[in-house]
Amino acid sequence: MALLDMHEWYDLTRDTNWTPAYVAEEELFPPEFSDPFGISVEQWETFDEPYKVCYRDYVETQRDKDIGAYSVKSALARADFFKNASPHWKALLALHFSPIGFAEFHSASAFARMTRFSRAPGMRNMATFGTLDEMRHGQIQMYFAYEFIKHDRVFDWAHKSSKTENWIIISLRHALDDIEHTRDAISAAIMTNFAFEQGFTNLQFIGLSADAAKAGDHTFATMLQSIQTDEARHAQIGTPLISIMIENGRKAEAQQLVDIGFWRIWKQFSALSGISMDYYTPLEFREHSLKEFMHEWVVDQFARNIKALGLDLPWYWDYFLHDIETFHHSQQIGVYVYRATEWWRPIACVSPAERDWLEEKYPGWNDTYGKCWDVVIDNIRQGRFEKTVPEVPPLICNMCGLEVTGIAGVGRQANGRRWNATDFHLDHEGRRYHFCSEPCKWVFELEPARYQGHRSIIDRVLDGTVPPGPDGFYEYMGQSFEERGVCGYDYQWIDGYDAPRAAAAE
Amino acid sequence: MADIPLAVLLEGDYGYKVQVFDTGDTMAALAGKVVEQVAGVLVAPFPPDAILKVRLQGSDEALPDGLTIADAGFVEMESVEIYRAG
Repeated sequence: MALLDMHEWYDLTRDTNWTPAYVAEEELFPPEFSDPFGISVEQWETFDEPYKVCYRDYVETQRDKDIGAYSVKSALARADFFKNASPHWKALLALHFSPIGFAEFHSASAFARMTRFSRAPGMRNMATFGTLDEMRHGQIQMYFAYEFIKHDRVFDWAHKSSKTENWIIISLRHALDDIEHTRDAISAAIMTNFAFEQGFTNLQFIGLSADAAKAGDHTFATMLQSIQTDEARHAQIGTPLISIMIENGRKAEAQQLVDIGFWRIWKQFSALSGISMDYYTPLEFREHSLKEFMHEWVVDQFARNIKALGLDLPWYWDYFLHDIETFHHSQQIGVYVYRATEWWRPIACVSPAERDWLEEKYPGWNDTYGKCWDVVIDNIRQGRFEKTVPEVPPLICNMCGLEVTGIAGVGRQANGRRWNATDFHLDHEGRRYHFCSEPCKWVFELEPARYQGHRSIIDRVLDGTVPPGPDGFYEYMGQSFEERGVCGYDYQWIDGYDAPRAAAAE
Repeated sequence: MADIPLAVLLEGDYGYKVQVFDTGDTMAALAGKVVEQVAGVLVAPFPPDAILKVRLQGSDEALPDGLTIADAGFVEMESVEIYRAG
């Protein structure tokens, strides 16, 4: 019997809405899970997915992708790429695999909620495949990371990280809990599919895959490509949702969801991918700076998408443009000097040649962030290794969970001052909250009750949640002695500044 | 007197630090404790004759050197800047 083409039956079979007879519509689709915006089911049924796929075709395509990725992995497994990779690339792999694996399962949960509670049949269909996509992404990335455990126990954190209270993991978990786990199906989809995936990860995987191929890590490149093609498909759920909301008088709500989701993910992207692109990627393999990447792919393309949908640029757009050039440089200083609080081996990436590159890409870098690095470098050259680690902890943002930072050094004039770091604080119900930026503070002020119970890692130190003693902090974060980060180059990166120095123990 | 944690930023540093002080500490003592922790670690050491002042974040006015944290009315985790005035 001849099979019909998909386009001949798809629209008919996807229409799986029905009138419930045994329970009320509100019980089947509680508004707080399905649609707090009060848009009629008839309107949601106009959802028309831009990319249509059926289960048979999905399985066939996914099988081919897995065969491709796992074949490359098997073929190259004996090539000893990892053993011969530089500390730069090892740090990049650790930074990618450790938080991303469990982040994919957060997304699987969000998609599952869309599958169950969306009023739009087409959206439920796409979200079903999105759920399967994200489960595959979590599994493949943990599996590929685990290949390296025999060389480096750092990669145990591909799975372990999600179970810890490490400060970086708390930061990422807070963002994903906010946009993926604790919203209704529509809000989660706009924040996850449009702001998160269409805005950042789909593009990030393209860029990272290109860097990996250039660096000769074809296993990593192939895996990323296999994930990116899924992202490109299911990220499209958000666009028709926004159109339906605007057509039904909910533009302001859609705008706010995009603005929150975009900012929350930007902070994570800035720290994780910003450090990867501008520091951890070996100089000879860098395709572009974070700033160039952001301007080409996000500032230009994503902004065009926002406007084409009828939304406005987020209110903080100018602040965002400033943040692109600043935030991750400060975070990289903190990640290096507080390296024992991280589970991988952080690297400084500020050799003379790398500083030249940073100065070229970010004019003024040497007079600002470079001034802090000058002190670190001088301490290493003088053998004062204990001085390369501050004894006082950093202030952590009560929204994004990253350091409250600004422009260091003496170079730039801002507000008439020579250096510029601002703690955007807020007093609320007897407690002082600290924020790294105006948008982080804005998100909190929108719904204080939603966020006020959360305590940053520093709050937990101050209120006694973190056990005292020299090891209490690390044990609370799940880090045994062997799991505390040390300089990935054993300080040898300093050689470019002076005569070679002997490696020093941490 | 009692312990009080403050959010402190030393001139030139890339970001705020959290440090615990005594409410009896004067502004001069506060500045000295911050310099001791951050200068020479993330900020170049200041010359011996450098005059350091304390101000609330966002303010342009230096707080008097002899003013104590208690008398200044700082709340827990107050945000202050330590800067070179001369």
